[in-house]
Formats: sequence, structure tokens, C-alpha cells
Amino acid sequence: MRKGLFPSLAWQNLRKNGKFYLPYILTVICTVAGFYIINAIASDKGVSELRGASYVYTMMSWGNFIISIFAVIFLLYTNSFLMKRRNKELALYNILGMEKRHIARVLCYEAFYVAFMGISGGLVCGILLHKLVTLILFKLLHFDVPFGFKVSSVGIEASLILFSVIIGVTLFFNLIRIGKAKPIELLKSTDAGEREPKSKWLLTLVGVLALGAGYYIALTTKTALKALELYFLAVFLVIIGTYCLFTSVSIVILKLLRKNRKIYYKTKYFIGISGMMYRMKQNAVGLANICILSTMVLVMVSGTLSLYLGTEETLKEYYPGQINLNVTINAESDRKFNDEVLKEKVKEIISKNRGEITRYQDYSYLAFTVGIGEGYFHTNIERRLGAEIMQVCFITEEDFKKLTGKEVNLKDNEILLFDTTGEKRDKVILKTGDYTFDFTVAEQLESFPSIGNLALYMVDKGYMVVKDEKVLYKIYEGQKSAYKDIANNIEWVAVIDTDLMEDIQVKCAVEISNLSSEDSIGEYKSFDVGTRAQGSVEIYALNGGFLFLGIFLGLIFIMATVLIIYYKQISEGYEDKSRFEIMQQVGLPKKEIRSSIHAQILIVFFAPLLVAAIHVAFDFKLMIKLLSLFALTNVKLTMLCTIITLLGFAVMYGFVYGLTARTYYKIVSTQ
Amino acid sequence: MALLEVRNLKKVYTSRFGGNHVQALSDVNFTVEAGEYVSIMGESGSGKTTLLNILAALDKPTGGEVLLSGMNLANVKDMDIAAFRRDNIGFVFQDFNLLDTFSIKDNIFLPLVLAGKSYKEMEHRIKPLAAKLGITDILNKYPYEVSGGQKQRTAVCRALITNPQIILADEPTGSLDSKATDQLLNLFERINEDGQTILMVTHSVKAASHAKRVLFIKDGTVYHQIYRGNCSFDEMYQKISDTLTLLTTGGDRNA
Repeated sequence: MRKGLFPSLAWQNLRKNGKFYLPYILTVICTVAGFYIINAIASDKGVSELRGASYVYTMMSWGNFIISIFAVIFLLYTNSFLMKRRNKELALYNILGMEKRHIARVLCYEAFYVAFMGISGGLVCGILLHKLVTLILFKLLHFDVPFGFKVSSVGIEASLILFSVIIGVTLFFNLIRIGKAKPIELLKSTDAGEREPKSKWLLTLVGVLALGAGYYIALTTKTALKALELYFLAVFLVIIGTYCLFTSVSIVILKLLRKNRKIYYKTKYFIGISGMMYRMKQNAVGLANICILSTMVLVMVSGTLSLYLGTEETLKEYYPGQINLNVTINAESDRKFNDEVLKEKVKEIISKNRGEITRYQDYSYLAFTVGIGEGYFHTNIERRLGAEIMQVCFITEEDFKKLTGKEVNLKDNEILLFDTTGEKRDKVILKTGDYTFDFTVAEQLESFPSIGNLALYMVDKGYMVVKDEKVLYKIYEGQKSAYKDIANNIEWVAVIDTDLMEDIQVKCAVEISNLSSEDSIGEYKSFDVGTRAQGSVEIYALNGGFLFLGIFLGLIFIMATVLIIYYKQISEGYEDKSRFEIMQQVGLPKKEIRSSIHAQILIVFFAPLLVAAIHVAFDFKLMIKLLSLFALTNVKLTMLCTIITLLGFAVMYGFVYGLTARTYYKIVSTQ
Repeated sequence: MALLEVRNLKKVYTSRFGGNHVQALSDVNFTVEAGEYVSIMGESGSGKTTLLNILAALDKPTGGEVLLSGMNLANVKDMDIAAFRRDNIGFVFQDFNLLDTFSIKDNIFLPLVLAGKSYKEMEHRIKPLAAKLGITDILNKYPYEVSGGQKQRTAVCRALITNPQIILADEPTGSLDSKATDQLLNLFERINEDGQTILMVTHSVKAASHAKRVLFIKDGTVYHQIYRGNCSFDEMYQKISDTLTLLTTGGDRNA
């Protein structure tokens, strides 16, 4: 055969199938660009020298991993869709005298063109966008923006390898397909004689159970740690449930609708219901995919957005003051730690730096982990994930007054309690080692001031106010007898606010930490000074990294959703074309075609969105719990972020719907 | 007054940028009386399908006019054209044009649903008709579950259920085997005996021989016509064959 035939034939095939291949190539371009950018950021030496860069690096490796997995699955999926549409064309080549190996060569050229355009296009976009994305990322992270324009060879290399391999694999599958196929079978139209779907009660049952279980977990999980542990199980159950229900319940509902003659035999529904029923089998999986991707986007973006917007709050939780002192007390020592001396010295340092203390708060606390037994707390914890544990924290009523201004008069065996799980308790019984404490809850509090760096511990907490230091030390002894070497110590904390600039605050903190060697403050186990100014860098790096990742992956998933919707619409458009022609001949006015199309697409399109919104609503409680692990407890903010994300997504979804519906209408109505 | 009057019908197809003109119909004139059974014959490309599309208001003529019961199709507004088609014309196609998304029964109901009829009335209309066409047993099946003959009878049923003034059939036997063809032709005859006007476009001499009158189209005009009168099918068949032979061989000289 003529030498240049195959390459030019392959090129023509791509052009003729542009409606299908252009979006595919665009997808490759976007995915390559995304992959390159993530890799480029992760491998940027300039980034790794920054404070908080380790978070960025971790985030980017996650992003990298998820995009790779996604690219493999999604490109294979799209490819199989494309090949199915081309059955007839390839069969025709075969019948017109091309041997299978010739077709294979054409396919190879096609794959080469796609790979070339997709990867090179993606790399160009990636390199150009890299700078912009870095700017955005650094803005989110509160990093200083670096100058210069970089091209990452690591990124190029990784993208080249990954996507060449993926496209190679798709080509391999296509070649196998061609090898196996018989031309006559391929030539036959694919849409002939699909059976009407049967109602699948078993699948419905499984779906209802899985979804119910997933929702049940989401609604009933009380502790944050449990939430973390069960989250992926819940997600898994909901995904299973979604697939089952889309495939089964949709058909059951449609059948019920069809049984109702008053509804069914109305022009609008007559065409819509039968059309959907006919197509539900192939539709269901696509719709479930859309639904799950949408849910992922919504959860990711709303979660990371609220985390980021709540950073200031989180920061206050981690660093209650501009300067924070933490001294671990050595309870066994004779030379007691002298907080009064320290306080004077701190005051000196601040005034030496020409500042004034606007707030000085100090208190002691004891916190340790306990197991949750039947009606009591104990110290025989099984050291494994998922054990029922929580953190208990004790402060004296004197310190409680310092923090809140509330006057309390407790008896020896009385406590005030704040339980983050919200559980109501009349008594708190604590069995620790040889000691058993039996406290009566005098009052259950609604909130508690933040204590030390307890916010950092990603577990549920029980805050308790006890009468005085005597009780506190007693509890300490009890705990010591149980945990021995790994027992926690009583911590002394001072929270200091000043009227100084941030850099002076940091300077003061350094001077304060030099006090640790002074003899006059007594003996202690550790001495730690931290400033909010410095802490903010790391937390912004962490939360900003999350948000970046959430939005970045969100965009990629949205792209996938759009592509699935687009392919669905145009392939159905071609199928429906002949149907609407027939209906026109039988007497369906053009206007009605439009409204019937809209009624049908509207339901099909917005069902996944609706279900996704329901998923998100159920997920909300679980997400709050998870976010509390990052010391974000602002439910209102999270609610707001979720609603905004949902609305934003819905608007975009509606836009895509409008666009594809128009394409669909064009295909259907052209003669 | 004739049920269907076609006067000086002309159709010119113009390519997209006005370059090429193809004359599909140059000057077609004929009438169909109520209760007639007319066949239109002609070779491929003679303009049969164009004619049928214009009669069905699916296409607009370049010149001339079509009157159905005295009403000019050109005067029917675009908005009402679908309803007009639904109420006055029944369609039977070569490839049945049944929708595989609907059961046989729903396929038949389709025009009635589009007309907004109640379910009770639809049920009332379908029963006698289905019995007459012998498809009562398959009403709940789907098009892909029944034979070609059954499909075509379903299509006939769909065409008849609106009590149209005229049935337009486009190669109705084209996709059927000989047995199903015979059945369908007998059926057409029976419904014609009941007073239904039928206009059929066909290639098949056998199908045409069942009509009461056969029109021959060539090069966009009605070239010749044959009345059956009291002829038997066989005699009619012979007449049509002879005419066709004349059309293809001798006709050229006069054209």
C-alpha cells in the first residue's frame, strides 16, 4: 500500500471524529498540564527551602498520586467509549479490504497523534500555567512569591512517561479489540433490541442497605476519631449504594410512573419516561459516576475551603496568645517551679522592648488519655486505632476563674464538665491504676476555653474543673501510678498579648526562651515558647495546601464530569435523532420536541446533582467531626462554605447542562 | 370535490450555496377521490418520495399547490402543521418507523397521546382496530420482539387510529417477505373497502396491482395512469408490467 496512506488516514479519522476526539485530546491536555504542575511544584527546590514546605511536599505527592490514578481510569474509560462509537467505521475498513494489521497501523498512528498533541499541548499549557498556579498557591500559603520562570525537567519527564504509558495501554486494548472483532458484528447497529430492564429487587435491597448503612454511620458517629476511622467505610458504602440505586431504583420508579396512566399518557412524560427507561441500563452507571464525582468535588472543595477560611480561628486555638509559654512541671521535685518570678522577668523583657502587656493569663492543667468503659473512664487502653479513647483535662477552679471570670465553689468530689462529644453525664468515674475517683458533675458546661495545645490532639476531649491543686495533684499521682514512665505531667501555660509588632514579638519570644536557664524560676521538665506569628506560617502552609489540593483536584474531577456529560449527550443525541424524526412524522410539533427533550434531560441531569447534594447533607455531620480534628469547630462557617460550594457547583453544572442540551438539540433537530 | 388535489406541483432542490439545481418534480397534477386506493409507481429518483413528503406536509413545494379536502396545505401555519398531519394523515413506512422505546400498544397510542386524548378513549379506539389487524396478542410486546409483518400491521394500526382522511404509504411492502406482503396487501384492500382512502408509493408491481388506480411518474411528472376497472389482479399485474416496460424502453423517445 501507498506509504503515506496510514498516517494521513489516521489524521483524517481524528478530524472526522472531531466531535468525539477533540474533548478527549483536551482531557489529555488538561490532565497532563495538571500532572506536570503538581510535579513541578513538588520538585521545586525554591519551595523546599521555605518554612512549611514539608506540608506542601506531602500534599503535592497526594495530589500526584490521585491524578495518576484518575488519569489511568478516566482515559481508559473515555477510550473505550470512543472505540465503541467507531465500530462501524473500522468494520467498514475491514470489509473494504484493509487487513486487520493495516487497521492496527492506522490505530497506532492515531494513538501517536493523540499522544503527541495531548502530551505536548499539556506540557506547554502546564509550563505556562505553572507560574500562575505557583502564584495562587503561594498566595494561599501566605508564602512570599518568588521571581523567575522555571521549567521543571522532572515534571516533563514524569508526564511524558506516565501519559505515554497510559495511551500505550489504551492502544494495546484497542488492538486486542480489533483482533478479536468480526466485521459483520461490528457493522450491525449497536442499538437494536435492547431488552427492557427488569426491576432488580435484590440490587435495590443491597443499594438501600449500603446507602442506609453509610448514612447511619454519618449520622451516628459521635467521636472525631471514630469519624476518621469510619469515614472511608462510609464513603465506600455510599458509593456502592449510589451505583445500586441508580441502576435499580431508577427503573423501579420509572416503572411505577409508567403504570400511572394519568401521568404516563401525557405528551411530555410519554416520550420522556419511555426514553429514560429504555436507556436507563446504560445511563445508570454514567449517572452514578457523575453523582459520585460531583459529591467528591463538593466534599473536597467545601471541606478544604472551610478549613482555609477558618485558619485564623484554628490559629487562635493552637496559639491563644501572641506569645505562648509552656512549662512542663516536675511534680516530684522539691524546688518548685516559680511562676511568679517568671512572670516578672517576662514583663521586664516586654517593657525593655518598649511594649506593654495587654493580656497575661496563666494556668496549670493536667491532660492524659483514658479509655472509655461502661460508665467510667479507665487507663487500661489497648494501643490500637479505633479503641474507644478520649483525652481528659483537669484544671483548678481558681484557674478556671482566671480564664473565664466565672466564680465556682466546688466540693472535693465535685467537677464542672465539658464533653466535646456532647454526651450528658451525671458522674465521672475515673479508674486509674490503684486509684479510683468518683466525681459528681455539678454542672455540664456548653463550652470551654482552649487549654494549652490540646487542640493539636485529634481526639475527643473531656474538660473538667476540679476544686484545687490538691485534687489535681491527686489525679496526677493516680495517673502516674497507671502510666508510669509515659505518664503526662502537669503543664503550666502562660498566654501573653502585647502591643508589639510581630517581628518584635518573635524577638521577645527568643529572649523569653533564654530565661529557661535562669536558676530562679525553679526546676521544670521542659520550657517552650511559641509565637502565633511563626505558627501562622505553618498552619497556612498546611491549610493552604489542603485548599489548593481540594480546588485543583476539584477542577480535574469537574472536567471529568463535564466530559462524561458531554459524551452522554452527544451519543444519545445521535440515538434519539431517528426517534424524533419518526415522532415528527407521526405528528409531534417541533415545539413539543424541545419541551420533551428538556423534561427528559432535566430529570436525567439533575438527579445526580440532587443525590450528590443529599450525600453532602448527610456527610455534613461527619465532615464537622473531621474538621474538628484540625481544630476547626466553626459549624456556621463550614455550613456556609458547603452551601456556597453547592451553589457554585450547581450554577456551573447548570451551565454545562445548557451547553450540552443545545448540542443535543442541534444533533436531534438537523435533518 | 376530490379529497386530494395536486396542481402543477413543482419541487426544485437547491444546493446549500445555490450552485446546483435539481428538479425533483416538474409539473405533477392528479386528484384522489374519497375512498380511492391509488398507487404511484416510478423508478428510483423519479420523485416519488419527494411527492409523498410534500403531500404529508413534511416538505414544501417550490411551486403549485396541494389541497386536502379543499384546504391548501400551504395555508396551514407552521405551528399547526404537526397537528394537521396528526389529524388528517396516516403514515405507513417501508421500515415501519416504530419506536423501540415503546411497546406495540404505546407505539399505536403515540399520535393519540400527542393529540392529548384520554386513556379511556385510546383504549376504546384500539380494541376493534387491533382485532381487525390481528395484533391483539402482541400489544404488550416490544417492536424488537415481533416479526416484520406484525411490525407493519402495528404501523398500519398507528396510522388508522386517528381516523385520518387519507393513508400515505411509502413502500409499505419493501421490507416484508412475500407472505407478509400478501397479508398486508389484503389488509389494505379490506380497509379500503371500509371506505379508507389510501395513497401508496411503491416499486413493487405486485403491490401496485392491488390498487384501484396506478399512476406512473417519470422525470417529475405523471406520465401515465391505469384504472383497474374490473380487471383481476393478474391482468392488472400484466398491464402494469407492460406500462413499466414501455416507460423504460419506449418512453425515452418521447421524453
